[in-house]
Amino acid sequence: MKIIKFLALGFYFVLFNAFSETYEVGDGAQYNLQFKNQNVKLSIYIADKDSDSLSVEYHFGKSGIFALDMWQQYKLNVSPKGVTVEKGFIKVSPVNPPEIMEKEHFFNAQGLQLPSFLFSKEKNIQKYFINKEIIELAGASLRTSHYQKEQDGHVVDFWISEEVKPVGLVKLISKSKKQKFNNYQIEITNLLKNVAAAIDPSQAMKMSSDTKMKLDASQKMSGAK
Amino acid sequence: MKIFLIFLFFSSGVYGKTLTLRRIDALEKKVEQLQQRVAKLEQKRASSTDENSGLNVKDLKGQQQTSYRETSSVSDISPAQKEQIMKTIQNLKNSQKKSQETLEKIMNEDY
Repeated sequence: MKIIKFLALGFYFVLFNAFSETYEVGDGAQYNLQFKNQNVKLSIYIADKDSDSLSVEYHFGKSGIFALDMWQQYKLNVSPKGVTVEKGFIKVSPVNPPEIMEKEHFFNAQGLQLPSFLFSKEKNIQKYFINKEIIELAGASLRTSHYQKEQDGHVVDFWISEEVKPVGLVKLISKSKKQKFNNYQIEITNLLKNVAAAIDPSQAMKMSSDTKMKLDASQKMSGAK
Repeated sequence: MKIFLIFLFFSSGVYGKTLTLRRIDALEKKVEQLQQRVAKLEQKRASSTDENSGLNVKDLKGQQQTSYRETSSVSDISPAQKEQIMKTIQNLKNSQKKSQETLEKIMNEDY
């Protein structure tokens, strides 16, 4: 349950340099997300797009006896001024209908906000640039740019590569002494193609009290409320 | 004699300087050649990873991502294969039905 609470927050980042690229719906990447002693498969892909917006869907999956399947989808307005999250949806299991997220659930109050650096124009994150590095992952040798950002003891190292479009993220290490939920690691495992969105926004319903309770609890845990 | 010595001293200096300049020229050429080789190798490497960066590409063929898909081999069956399997099952059912009918017919004939 804790992992669901954790995952429900803060993962609407992606698409490094989203402004200048043309992305195909269904394209994305899959990652291994390590949180405490748990491994979760995180998939990020383009769910939909039009001239001035982009919908990005995240799937958190864990097989086994206590299988986990959860999807989040964010509609992002892309303009020359920047990117704003317009709408958010959540589907907590394959049998549940998609639910509309309230804006208060988009953010995690403590620590660094991932969108603050990952979903940025390249020039905006240049001040966090550390080095050019070759990362060996999943049998591939990837040329990356290593960035590091720190805020209130929360340090995020991330490696971006043009070679893993559209997401761009190769690896991310988040460390925080104050907030344990901010200690996690993400590593790319493979690219994705032709993924169908699990959330149809037109079918989304008002958020159930059960889902709201879980999200509120996760925000309370992170100090957002 | 002195003048000859002075001449020798200066001429060797000029010769030495020319030699140094030649070496610099040669080294500069070598550096240029190496830079060109590095650029070619980088270009070659970039073109070999353009397709999928060396990472595996998982094609979901229009299916949704689920944790079930991560472990089940069923996900590898294409819609065409699925249709083929359904047809085979239907044929099997029809065949069983015919066998049953034939068996019943034989039984009825005996009586």
